[in-house]
Amino acid sequence: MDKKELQRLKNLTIYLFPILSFAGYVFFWNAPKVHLINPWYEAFHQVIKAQEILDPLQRQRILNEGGEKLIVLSRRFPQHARVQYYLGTYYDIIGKYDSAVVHAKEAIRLGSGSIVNRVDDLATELLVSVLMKKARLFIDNKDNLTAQYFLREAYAIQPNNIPLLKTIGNVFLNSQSIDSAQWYFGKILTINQLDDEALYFLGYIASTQKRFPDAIDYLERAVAINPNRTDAKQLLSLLKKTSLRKS
Amino acid sequence: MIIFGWKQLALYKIPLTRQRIFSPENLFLFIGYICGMLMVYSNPPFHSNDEDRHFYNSYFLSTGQVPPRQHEGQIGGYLPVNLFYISESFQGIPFNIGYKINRAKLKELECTPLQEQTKVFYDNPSYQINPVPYTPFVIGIWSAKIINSNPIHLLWGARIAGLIFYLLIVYMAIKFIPIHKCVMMALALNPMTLFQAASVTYDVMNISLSFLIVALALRYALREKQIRKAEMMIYVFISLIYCFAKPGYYIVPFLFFVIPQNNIGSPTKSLAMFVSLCVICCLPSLTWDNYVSSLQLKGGRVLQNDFYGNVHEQLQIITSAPGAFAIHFLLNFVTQGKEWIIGTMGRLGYSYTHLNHTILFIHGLVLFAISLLDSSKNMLLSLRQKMIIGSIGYGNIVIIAVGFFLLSPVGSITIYGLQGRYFISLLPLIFLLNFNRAFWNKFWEKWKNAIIASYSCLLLGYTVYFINTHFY
Repeated sequence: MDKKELQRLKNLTIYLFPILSFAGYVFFWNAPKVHLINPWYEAFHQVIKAQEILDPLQRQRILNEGGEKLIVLSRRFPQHARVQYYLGTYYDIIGKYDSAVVHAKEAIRLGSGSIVNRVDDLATELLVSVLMKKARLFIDNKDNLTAQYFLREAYAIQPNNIPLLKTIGNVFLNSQSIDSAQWYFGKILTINQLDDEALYFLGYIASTQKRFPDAIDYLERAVAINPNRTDAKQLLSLLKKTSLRKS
Repeated sequence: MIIFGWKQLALYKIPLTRQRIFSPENLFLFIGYICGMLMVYSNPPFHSNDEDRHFYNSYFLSTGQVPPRQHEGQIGGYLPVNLFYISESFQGIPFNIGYKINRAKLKELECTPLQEQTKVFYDNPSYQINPVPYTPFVIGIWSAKIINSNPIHLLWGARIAGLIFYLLIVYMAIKFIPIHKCVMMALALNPMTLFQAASVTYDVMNISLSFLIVALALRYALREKQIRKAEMMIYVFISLIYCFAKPGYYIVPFLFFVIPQNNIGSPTKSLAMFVSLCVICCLPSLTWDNYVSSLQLKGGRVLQNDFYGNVHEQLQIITSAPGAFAIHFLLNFVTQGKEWIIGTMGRLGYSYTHLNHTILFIHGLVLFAISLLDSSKNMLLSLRQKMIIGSIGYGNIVIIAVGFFLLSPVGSITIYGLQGRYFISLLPLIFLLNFNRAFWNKFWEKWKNAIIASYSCLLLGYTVYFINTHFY
C-alpha cells in the first residue's frame, strides 16, 4: 500500500467510524421486531394462549403442541425448575393431576432457596391448587376419606391457605366430623376475622350443636360483613324465630 | 487576592485564568458534586442495582468480617438486625404500578438506631466478590458512624464516599486526557454514570478507573516524550486495582499499546508491559478467588435458581452448533440492543425505571455530536491507534456479551442478565473512534465547556426531578 492510498484510507476512517456508529445507534434504537424467544417460554405461551381460543379443536391442538414441546424440554433440561413448573401447569390444565403434582414438586425441589426470580413460590401455589382439585374429584364421588388424604398433604404445605381450609372444613362437615370442621373454620378467623363464609359455617355448626346465642352471633357478623349472604340471613331469621318461640 | 484575583495565584504562581477556572475538569467537579449529592439523597435507600448486597459487603469489610464466615449451612456475615430490616423494607417495591415511598416513613427510619449488638447472620449470595472495590464505602461507613450510626445515614455516608472517590479519579482523568476532554466530561456527567457513582456498587471504581486508564494511555500516546518507569508503574498499579474492581474488563488495560513504540522506548519495555498486564489480569482469580475456594465454605444461598446454569454445558451446546450460536448472538443485539443503550444512559432505581425514551435518544445523539465536534487542531489519532481503541472497546463488549451468554441457562438462546450499564466503562473508547480534525470549528472551541456544562446541568436536573417524583 503506497502513501497516497494509506492517506486515502485514513481520510476515509474520519467519516467511516462516525457514520458506522451513528447508523448502528439509530438501527439498534429502531431495530425491527425479531422473534427471539427461548423454547420454554414459547411452549408455555402456547399453552396459556390456547386457553383463550374458543374453537375446541384448535384449542386442543395448540395446547397439545405446547405441552409436547414442554415434555421434550423437561427431558432435555431436567434441572430447569421453571420448565418443570411450566410442565406442571400444562398437566394441571389438561387435568392430569398426578403428573402435575410430580412436576410441581420437582420445581419446588430444584428452585427453592433463591432470592430473586423465585419459582418455588409459584410451584407451591400450583401444587396446593392441584391437590385441591384432586381432592374435589373424590369429594364429588362421595369418597371423603381419600379426599382428606390429598387435603392433608396440601395443608402440610400451606397451612394458612383460606380456600384450602374452607374445603377441608366442608369435607369434615359432610362427613359429620363437626369438631374438626369447627376447628378449620375457626382457624380461618384467626387469619381473616372478616371471612363471612367461615362465620356462616361456624354459625351453622353452632346451630346444629344447639348453641343458639353463639350461632346468632356468628351469623349476625357474617350478614354485617356481607349483606348479600342469603343462606346466613335465612338461617339467622330461622334461629331468631326459634329462640323467640322458646322465650 | 488569592480568591478573587484573575491574574495570578500569588502563592503558587499559577495563572488563574477564566479558561483554567472553567476548564472541563473543574466544571465536572462542580456539577458532579452538586448533582451527585442530590442523587445520593434523592435515590431511595438501598435502591440502585444490587445496592443492598453491595452495602452488606461493605459493612462486613468495615467490621472486619473478611473473609466470609461459615454459619451452619450459610455463608456470609453478621449484620445488625435494624440494618437488615431497614434495607429489606426498601426491596421489591412495585414502583412500576404506582407505589411510592413515604417521606414520613423515611424520616421515621432515620431515627432507628443501628444497635450493632443485636445481630442476624446474613446468608450472602455475593460473598465471593473481592473486597477491593468496597474500600471507598468502608471509609464512608466509618466516617458516618462518627456522626450518626443510623443504617440510612451509614448508607448515605458510603454513597458520599463513593461519589467523592469517583469525582476525584474522573477529575484526574479529564485533566490528564489530551483530547476528548469534553466527551469525557459529558460521559462522566451522563445520568446513568452519575447515578451509579452516587450508589454503593463496584461500578464506582470500575467506571472511574476505566476513564483514568483511557486518559493515561492517551496522554502517554499523544505526547512527544518517552514514558518514564514511574509512569509505567503507576499505569500498572491502576490497572491492577481496575482488574480487582470488577471482572470482565481485562482487555482495557491493554490500551497501553496505543502508545507508539517511540514513546515506549525499547521493545523490551513493551514486552515487560505486556507480560505485566497479562499477570495482572489473572491476579484476582489467582489470589482472592483461590483464597475463598481454599476456605472450603459449604452451603450458602443462591441468588437465583429458576434455571440451571453451567458454563461447560452451555459451551458444549454452542460449539455443537456454532452457526446457530452466531445468529442468536447477533439477534440478541437486535432484540435487546435498545434496552442496553438505554441502560448506559438512564435506567435508574433497581434498574427497572427508565428515563423518558425520547430524551434518552436525543441524549445519545448529543453525545455522538460532542464526540465529533470535540476535536483538536494539532493532535490526531493514527489509523493503527483507532484500530487498537476500536478492538478493545468493541472487543470488550463482545467479551461481556459472550460471557453472559455462557452464564445464561443451559440451552438458552437469549442472553440473560446483561445490562447496558456494564458498557459505560467502554464508552470513552467507542466515542474516541469519532475523534478527528474535520469538524473543528472556532465557535465550538470557544463555547464547548459552557454548552456541555449547561446541557449536563439541565439533563441531571431533570434526572433528579424524575427520581424525586417517581419514587416518592
